[in-house]
Amino acid sequence: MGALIRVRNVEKSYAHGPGQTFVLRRISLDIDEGDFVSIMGPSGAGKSTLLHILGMHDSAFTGEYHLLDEPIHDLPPRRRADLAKQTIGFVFQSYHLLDDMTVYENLEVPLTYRNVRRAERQGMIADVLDRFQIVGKKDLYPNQLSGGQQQIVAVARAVIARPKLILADEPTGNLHSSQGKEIMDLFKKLNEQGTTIVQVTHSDVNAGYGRRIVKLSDGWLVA
Amino acid sequence: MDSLLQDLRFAIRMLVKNPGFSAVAVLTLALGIGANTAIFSAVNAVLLRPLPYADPHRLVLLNEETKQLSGMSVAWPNYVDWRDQNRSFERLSAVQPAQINLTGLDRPQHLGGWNVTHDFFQALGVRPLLGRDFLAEDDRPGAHPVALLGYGLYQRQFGGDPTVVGRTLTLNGTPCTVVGVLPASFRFYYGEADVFRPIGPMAGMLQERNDHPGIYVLGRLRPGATLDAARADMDTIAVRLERAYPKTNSGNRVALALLEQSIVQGIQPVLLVLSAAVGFVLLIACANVAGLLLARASARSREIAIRRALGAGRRRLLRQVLTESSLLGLIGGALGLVLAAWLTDVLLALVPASVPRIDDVRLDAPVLAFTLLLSLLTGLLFGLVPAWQSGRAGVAESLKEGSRGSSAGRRQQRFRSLLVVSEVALSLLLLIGAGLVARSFLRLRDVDPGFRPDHVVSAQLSLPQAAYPDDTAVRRFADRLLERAAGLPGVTAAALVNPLPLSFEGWQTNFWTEDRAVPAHGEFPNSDYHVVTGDYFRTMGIRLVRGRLFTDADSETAPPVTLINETLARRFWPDRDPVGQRMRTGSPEDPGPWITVVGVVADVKQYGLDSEQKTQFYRPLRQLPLRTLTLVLRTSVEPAGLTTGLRDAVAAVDADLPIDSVRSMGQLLSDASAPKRLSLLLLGSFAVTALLLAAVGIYGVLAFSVAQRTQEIGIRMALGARRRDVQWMVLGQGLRLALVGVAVGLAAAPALTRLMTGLLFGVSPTDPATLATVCALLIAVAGLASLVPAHRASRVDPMISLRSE
Repeated sequence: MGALIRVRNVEKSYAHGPGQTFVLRRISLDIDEGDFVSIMGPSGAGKSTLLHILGMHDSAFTGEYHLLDEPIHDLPPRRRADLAKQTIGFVFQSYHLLDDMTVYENLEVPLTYRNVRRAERQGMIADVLDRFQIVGKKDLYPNQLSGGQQQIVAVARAVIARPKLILADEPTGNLHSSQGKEIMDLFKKLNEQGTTIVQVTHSDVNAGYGRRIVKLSDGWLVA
Repeated sequence: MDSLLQDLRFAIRMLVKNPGFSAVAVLTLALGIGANTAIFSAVNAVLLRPLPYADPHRLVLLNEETKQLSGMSVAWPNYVDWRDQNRSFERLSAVQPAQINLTGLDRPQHLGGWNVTHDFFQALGVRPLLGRDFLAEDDRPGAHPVALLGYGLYQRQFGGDPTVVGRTLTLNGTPCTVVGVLPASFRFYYGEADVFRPIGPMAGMLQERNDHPGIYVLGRLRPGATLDAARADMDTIAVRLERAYPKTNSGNRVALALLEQSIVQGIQPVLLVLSAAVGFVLLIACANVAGLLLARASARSREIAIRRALGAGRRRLLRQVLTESSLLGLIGGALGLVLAAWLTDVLLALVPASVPRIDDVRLDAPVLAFTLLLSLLTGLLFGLVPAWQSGRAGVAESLKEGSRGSSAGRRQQRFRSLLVVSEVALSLLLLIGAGLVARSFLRLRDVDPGFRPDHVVSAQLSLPQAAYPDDTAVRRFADRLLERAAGLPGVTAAALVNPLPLSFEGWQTNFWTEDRAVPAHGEFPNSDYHVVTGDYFRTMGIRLVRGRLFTDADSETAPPVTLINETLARRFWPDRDPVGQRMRTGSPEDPGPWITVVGVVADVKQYGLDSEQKTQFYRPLRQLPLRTLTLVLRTSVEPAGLTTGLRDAVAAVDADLPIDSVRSMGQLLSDASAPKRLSLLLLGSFAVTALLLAAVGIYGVLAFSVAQRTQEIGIRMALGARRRDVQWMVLGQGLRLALVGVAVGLAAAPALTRLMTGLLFGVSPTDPATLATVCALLIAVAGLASLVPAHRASRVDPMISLRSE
C-alpha cells in the first residue's frame, strides 16, 4: 500500500515578542495506508499539534503535507474541508460529544454535514449502533453515559462516515484501564479491517496495539 | 430542508434548555418589535395606505396663494376660469364647508356639511351606496335643493333605513330631497361629512372675484399629465387672470399639492420621528440580545469547534446560528404582536381624533407582514455577530485539552463592549429627543394664550339664511340670546364671537391704513379679523392694553370702530398711539368705510400655542353681523354643568336652532397642546425603554467581564488590592463604556435633532441644557448599572478563585 500521509519539513511556531516559539521543528514523516502509528513524547512535545495538523484543524504551518497525494498545504480551505470530510475521523481525549444531542443525533451530525440523505443516514446509524453494541443507548444524552460509553460513541461517530484514516488524541486519557482496553480493542479491530489509525498516547500499553511508534521531543522528531 | 428542520429542532431544544436566557431575549425583542409594529400600524394607515378613492395618486388639491398669504381659499369666478381653461385635469371640482342645521325632526341638529360641484364624487371615484350621485341639473341656480347623506348620519339619525332616499329634510330652513347615501367606506379628511349639497344654487352669491369664501378645488389629473406640468398650466392661467383682473388677481397664484400629501403633511414629521425612535429602540434591543448570544457563544465555542471538526462548513454553521436567532426573533415577534395590539389601543385612545386617517389604524395584513419581516430581519441582525464569531474561532485552539479559549473570550468581550457603546449612543439620542420635546412642551405650557381659559364654556351655532334673512334679524337674535345666556345661573358674562380663539379657523382680509400710501394690487397687508359682541373681552379675560373696549354706543348707526391687537399696533404704528388711527378693508375700487381704532388688546393665539402671532383686529357684531357664531360664557361654576341650561337658553330664542361643539376653553387649550403632549409621552416612553435596555446591556457586559476576570481579581486582591480598588476598577470599566457611548451619541446628535425641528418649540435642537442633563442622567444610570457587578467583584475570595485555576 502507498503512503497515505506524507509530511515534509512541517514546522509550526507562534510569534513571541521579537522572536518565534517553535512547537514543531522540521517534521518529516510517512504513514502508509493500513498503518497503526502511535505518536509519543513528553508533555509539550507537539504531539497534539501534529495530530491537529494532520486532521486539518490547524492550517497555520509551513512545510508540505500530502494526504492521498493531495498537497494539503496548497489546497484552498473549501477543498481541504471536503477532503477532511471524506477521509478523516477524529477521536478526542474528552470525547467532545454534543451534550444537547442524543447518541443517535451525535452519530447523525457528521452524516448531515456530508449531505447524506435521511433514509441512507438511518441505515448507516443503525449499522454503527449495532456494530458498537450501543443500540439500547441511542436515545440517551452524553451525561447519561459513563466515560467509556461516551468514548465508544465518539469512536462510532468518527467511523460512521467510513473514513480511511482515524486520528485519535489520547483516546483513553480520561478512561479507566478496562474502558481504555475496550477502546483500544476497537481500534485494533478497525485497523484490521483496513482503517489507518494514528494515535497520540502517553501509554506504552496503548502504543503496543500499534505497529509503529513515532517519538517527538521539543517539537523535533526523535525516532 | 431536512437539515433546516434539524437546525430548527435543535434551536427549540436550546431555547427550552435555557429558559432564563430565552425569556430575557424574547421579552427584549418583543418590546422592540411590538413598539415598531404599533407605530408602523399608524404609519401604514396614515402615510402608506392609499386614500380610499379611485387612483388616489392622481388627485390634487388646489388653492390660491399670494406672497403674503398661503393656503388661501378660491374665489368662485377664479375656479370657473380654472375649470374652463386648464389642460391638465380631467375634472376640477369645488368643495366648500357649510354650516348646516337639520330641523323638523325630534330635535334640531348641527351637521358637518359641504357644498360641492356635481362632479365632486366622480372626481374622487366614489359611488353612492343608495340612490344616485348629483347631476349637472342639480348644480344650477334655481335647481330643486337636493342632498347626499354621509353613512354615519344615515345610520345615526335614520337607523339605516333605505327609504330615506327620496325623503325631504329641512336643511337651514330649506326643504331638500335626499337623492342618495354615501358608502360606509367613504372618508373625507377635512371635517365631519354628514351631508353634501350642490354648490351651484348658491353660486349667485359667490360672484365677487375678491371674495374667497372657503372654497377649495379638487382635481383629477388627466392620464399622462404630471403634477409639474399641471403647475405650469395653472401658472399660465393665473398670469392670464392677473392681466385680465388686476384689481382682484394681482399677485395671485395657484398652489397645487397631491391630495394624499396635503392630508398628512401635519402629522408626517411626527410619525417619521416616532418611526426613527422605535427603530432605535429595536436596534438597542438587538444589541442587547446579540450581547446575550455572544456571552452564550463563548459557552458554546466548544460545541461549534466540535461541529467544525465533524465537517460543518462555515456556511452550515452560520445557517444553524441564524436559524436559532431567527427563531428567537419570530417568537419575540409573536409576543411583540400581542404587545403591539395593546399599544395600538393605547395610542388610539391618546391621539386626537383630528389626526387624519387615525381611525383607519388597525393590525391588518400589511402590518402583520411587516411584523413577520421585522422579526426575521431582527433575528438575522442580532444573530450575525455571534454567527460571524462562531466561524472565526480556531478548531484546534478550542478543542485542545486545557484550552480556555481565552483569546476568543477577549474578542467577544470587545465586541460586547462595542455593542454596549452603540446602545448607549442610541439611548442618548432618544433621550435628547425626548428631552427637547419635554422642554418644548414646558415652553408651550408657559405660552400665554391671550385669554383666561378657566371657567369659560363655548358653543357653536349657525343662523340659517332662511330664518335670518337680514342683518337686523341677526342682531335681534344676538341681543335675545345674550340676554338669556347672561341670566343663566352661574354665568357671570356672555358674548358672541367668530371665530373662537385657538379654533384654528380664521377670517382674513386685506386692509390699508390712512397714514400710508395705498399699496399696489397684490401688495396689500393681510390680517385676521374677528367679529365680537361688546362683552367679549371681559368674558374671555382678554386684556385691554390701551384705549377702550366696544360699548353699546358702537351700534350699526355709529361710526365704524375696531380694536386691534398688540402685534398689529406694533407693526403699523410702532412709534405712535394707534388709538384714533384709521384703516379700511376692501379694495381701492370698492373700499369699505374708514374704521377707527378705539383700543388695543392683548394678542390672542388662534392657530395653536406654538403658532406665529398674526395681526388681528376686532369688529363689533352690531356693525358686521355674521351668521356663524360661537357663544362664550364665563361661569362661576363648573362649565360642564351648564350644557343643558345653554341648550335651553338657545332653544328659548329659536327652538329650531341646534348648538354644537359645547366645550370648555380649558379643554380647547389642552387640545392645543395635545400633539406635543402625545409626542412627549411616546418619545419619553421610548427613551426610558432605551435607557433601561442600555442599562441592562452595561450590566450584562460588566457581569460577564467580572466572571471572566475572577482569577485576575483574585490575584489583585492577593497582591494587596482592597475591595474599594476592585469596585472602582469595575465601576470605571462601566463608566468608560458609558462615556464613549455618550461621546459618540453627542457627535451624532446635532445632525439627527435637526430633523426634529418641526416638533420643537422655543428650544434649539442643540440646546446645551438638555444635552448636559441627558448626558448626566445616562452616566448616572450607567454608574448604577455597574454597581452590582462591582459589588460582586469586590466579594471575590482570592483563595477560592486562585484554587479553581
